[in-house]
Amino acid sequence: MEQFLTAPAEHDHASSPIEVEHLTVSYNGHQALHDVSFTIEQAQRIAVVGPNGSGKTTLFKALAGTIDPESGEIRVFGHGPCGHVCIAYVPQRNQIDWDFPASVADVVMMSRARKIGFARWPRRNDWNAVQEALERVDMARLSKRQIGELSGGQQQRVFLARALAQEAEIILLDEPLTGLDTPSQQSMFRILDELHQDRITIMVSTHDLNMAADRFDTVMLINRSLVAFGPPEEVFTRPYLMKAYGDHLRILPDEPTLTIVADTCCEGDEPA
Amino acid sequence: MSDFIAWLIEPLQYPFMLRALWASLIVGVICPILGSYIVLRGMAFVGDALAHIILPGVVVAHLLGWPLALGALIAGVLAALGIAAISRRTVIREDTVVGVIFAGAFALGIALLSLYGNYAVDLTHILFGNMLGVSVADLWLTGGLGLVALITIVVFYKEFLVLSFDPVLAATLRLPVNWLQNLLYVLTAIVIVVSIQVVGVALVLAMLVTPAATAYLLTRRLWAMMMLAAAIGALSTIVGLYVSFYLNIASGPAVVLIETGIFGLVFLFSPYRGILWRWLRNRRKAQLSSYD
Repeated sequence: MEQFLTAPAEHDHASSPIEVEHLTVSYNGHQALHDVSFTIEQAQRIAVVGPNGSGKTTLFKALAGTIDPESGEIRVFGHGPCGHVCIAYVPQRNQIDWDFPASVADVVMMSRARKIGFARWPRRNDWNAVQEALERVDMARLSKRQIGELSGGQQQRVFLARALAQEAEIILLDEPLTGLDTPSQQSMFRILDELHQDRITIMVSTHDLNMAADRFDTVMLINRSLVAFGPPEEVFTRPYLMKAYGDHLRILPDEPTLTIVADTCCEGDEPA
Repeated sequence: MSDFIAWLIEPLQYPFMLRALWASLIVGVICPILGSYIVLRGMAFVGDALAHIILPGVVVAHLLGWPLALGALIAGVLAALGIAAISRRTVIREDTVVGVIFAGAFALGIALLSLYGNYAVDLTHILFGNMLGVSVADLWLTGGLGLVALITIVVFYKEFLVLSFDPVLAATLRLPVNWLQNLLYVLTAIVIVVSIQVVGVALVLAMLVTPAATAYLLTRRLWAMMMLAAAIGALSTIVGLYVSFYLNIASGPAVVLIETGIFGLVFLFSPYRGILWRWLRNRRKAQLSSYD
């Protein structure tokens, strides 16, 4: 059975966790990303911002190796992404069937499926990994709940625990803060801070420009192509924002502080 | 009491009834277990299509004097792999393509039958099953293929679970997603072939989907859903068979009607997801908020 599985790629830790060169991705002949290049260092925390349909989800899925680029190259620790099992993609909450008959622990255990292997059942170390991951996100006491019986913040934490139980070194979170109340957002940030200390590389897509500016050391502004990439104060400038948001942006004329009203609406309206 | 026991035993004195009971039990258990994945993945239409696409295979085998199951198996596996391939790359929507093939193949089967076969009798058996005509050889075949399907489901339980819940996770774990998807389609074809003798092409979808949907309304873990679905399937086939024997109703439809009846009750009264409870809960919520 094992021949169906590609062996995980060796990590070249001299290389950056993620290097992207001239990445172009298309859906049905429609370009979702065009000529994107950047390099991400280990343990960096990046907020990916851009308007609806700007290709944030597409970028994440290409990095996770679940969709193929049309051209360009992605290297994860020196190799193509498809050989890695160290990349976790946490989907938007509206992409998940919350009525699915699975408990919190079941969902977290799913990320161990590869490690457990075909025709085998979870062993003690798998249960320990699940338990540990749930404790880190403070969800251990709800491990037997059906996933639909949780609040939005709890659901998001379960999926973060799933990424931890996968022993991921790169975690891509797609709109994890959308629809969460402030306490839930705070507890997400507390967990992300801890992961940062464990040298895990984290990319978070968000609509919230303030959050991106306050909470992340690096911001990536995209709209089908890379508009700007760097510290928030360098990225969130009038020309870059105009380029990314165009008509959907109102910049109120109270200089020198820039007040921005962006179209921050609605999760889940990007292709795939 | 002894009357009741006599009533229970009476049909079992006929060997054909005993064979029918065994065959329908195997089908009644295996269909809902696989059907749980079909319900969760929203594959019901593909399942129905596969059942109908098998028809020309059955007819050709019938005309050549081969075992019917062999023809069905070949047609089913080819169709399963074909549908899996189409669903991955197509310009037209997947369900449209499946619909085109499904209706075309079914028409081909009926056309062949009308040309060469004893049209009315054969068609009825293929469409609605012939539970009381199960031979010993049929029983072995049903049991053997059923066992193969069951073992495969156990072996790939967690992989199918991941694939059903979050295909993107399956891809990032580098599980062989396409291969697993093909396997699930082929398993569906095998289970349909096993079931045709018992319930026929037209009703096999009910065996796959109805008990699994009933169990979905009552359970909150996949394995529990599968167990309960299998229990409901087994119970329905036994009850259906007795109903068929004593009321002289065709056996396949009797089983399916029992399953549908159980589904209807659960759909109304299930504590988590039933209509009645939801309505009561919403009403209570509305009352509570009107007190505020």
